[in-house]
Amino acid sequence: MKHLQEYRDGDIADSIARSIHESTTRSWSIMEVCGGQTHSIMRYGIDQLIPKSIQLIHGPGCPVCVTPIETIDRAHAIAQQPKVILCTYGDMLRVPGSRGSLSGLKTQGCDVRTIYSPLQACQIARDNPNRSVVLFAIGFETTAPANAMAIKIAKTEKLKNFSVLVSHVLVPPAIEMIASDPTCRVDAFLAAGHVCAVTGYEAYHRLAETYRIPIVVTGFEPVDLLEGIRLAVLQLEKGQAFVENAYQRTVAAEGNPTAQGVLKEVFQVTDREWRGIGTILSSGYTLSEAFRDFDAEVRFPLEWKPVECTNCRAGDVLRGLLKPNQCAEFGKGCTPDSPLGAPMVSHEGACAAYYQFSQLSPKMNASR
Amino acid sequence: MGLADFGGVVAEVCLEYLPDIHVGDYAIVHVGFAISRIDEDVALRTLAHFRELEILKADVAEQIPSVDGH
Repeated sequence: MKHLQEYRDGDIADSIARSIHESTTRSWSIMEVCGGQTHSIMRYGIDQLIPKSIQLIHGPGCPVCVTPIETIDRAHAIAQQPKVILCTYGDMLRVPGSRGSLSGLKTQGCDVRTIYSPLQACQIARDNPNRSVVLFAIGFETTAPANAMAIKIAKTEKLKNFSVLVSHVLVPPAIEMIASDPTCRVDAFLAAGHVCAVTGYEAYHRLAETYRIPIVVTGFEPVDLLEGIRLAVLQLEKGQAFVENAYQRTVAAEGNPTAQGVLKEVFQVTDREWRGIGTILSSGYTLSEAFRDFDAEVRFPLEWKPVECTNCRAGDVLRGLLKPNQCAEFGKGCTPDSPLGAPMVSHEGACAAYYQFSQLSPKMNASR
Repeated sequence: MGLADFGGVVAEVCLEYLPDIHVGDYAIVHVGFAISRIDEDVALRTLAHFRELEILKADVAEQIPSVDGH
């Protein structure tokens, strides 16, 4: 497909990799924030193409992975209420909560549905006026505009049987939390291209200046990732730290103003807990006052005490402190078929990426 | 709403966030929503820049035999 195949071209990838080798004189640690980028790195063996002195640290940008266990348990409890239809994205179904996963509820007769687009949840609400349809709305800034539109439509159409369990998180506060940590090992960030396609990257200038750290807006194909790494290395080698856009065909500095307008209308910024990481100030969305009537947390006031799996070290993986295959449970007590933690479930989770793709390149495990 | 061709698979996509999009444009689609139009001029310039890197690589490769004296 056009605008895709070109960025998987082996010759171009080799040229950029060669240029990175020529430019690199020291050891650098670069964090790709987005879990989609982690999967591309493992899938295409990008970490094998770059110099050994460049370490790629995998960041917390997996929305399913950072959704708090309290919220998963809440979704679980809501789905068990009479007449409820719970709608969410595929990965979310298999993530373990205190009482099991949402997919487990299906076998108990609960109506849990996988959707591809949040507009499907609106249609399910229209088609089932006697049922209560709950959209479990997770994701980063990339997904937020879609969920916001579904909520806006529900309000316009007065879909009284529609509500939303919001667990949206934001990238820049997570970058700031990592960069401001005195023990931070990250020398540069690859910012998630599709998040920036929505938000733009104006908010990143302050972070690059304050923490003297290069931030390169990067795409998801192998050539895009290598170009992002190349530009980060060039800045690091010259002692520079600014925001650079390696994904210009898709990302404009100002992002998508139409989407930003709807986000501002439907949501407001709030503190959010990130599973395995803790609470990050102003790092997520909740419904704005005008849309509070659609809040599933208000419609279903349920209480319980969540219990985390003690053997799972997802928090260390999400903070870039541990490689997935350094966890004692990796591939043994924890596999995609029987996951202990969310990063082994999601198609954006680092553990799943290592499990799925490390077999493709046997040397990879030995070298870590 | 509009129809998007994903390399042969055609699906309905919400175009609300790209008011200026036209038939034939390429876009990034996420959970059923087009969120960004791909700028073809910029894409071509980026690819031309990568080709330059390739030419540089080819130049270096040609020089190697003469350096080695083979």
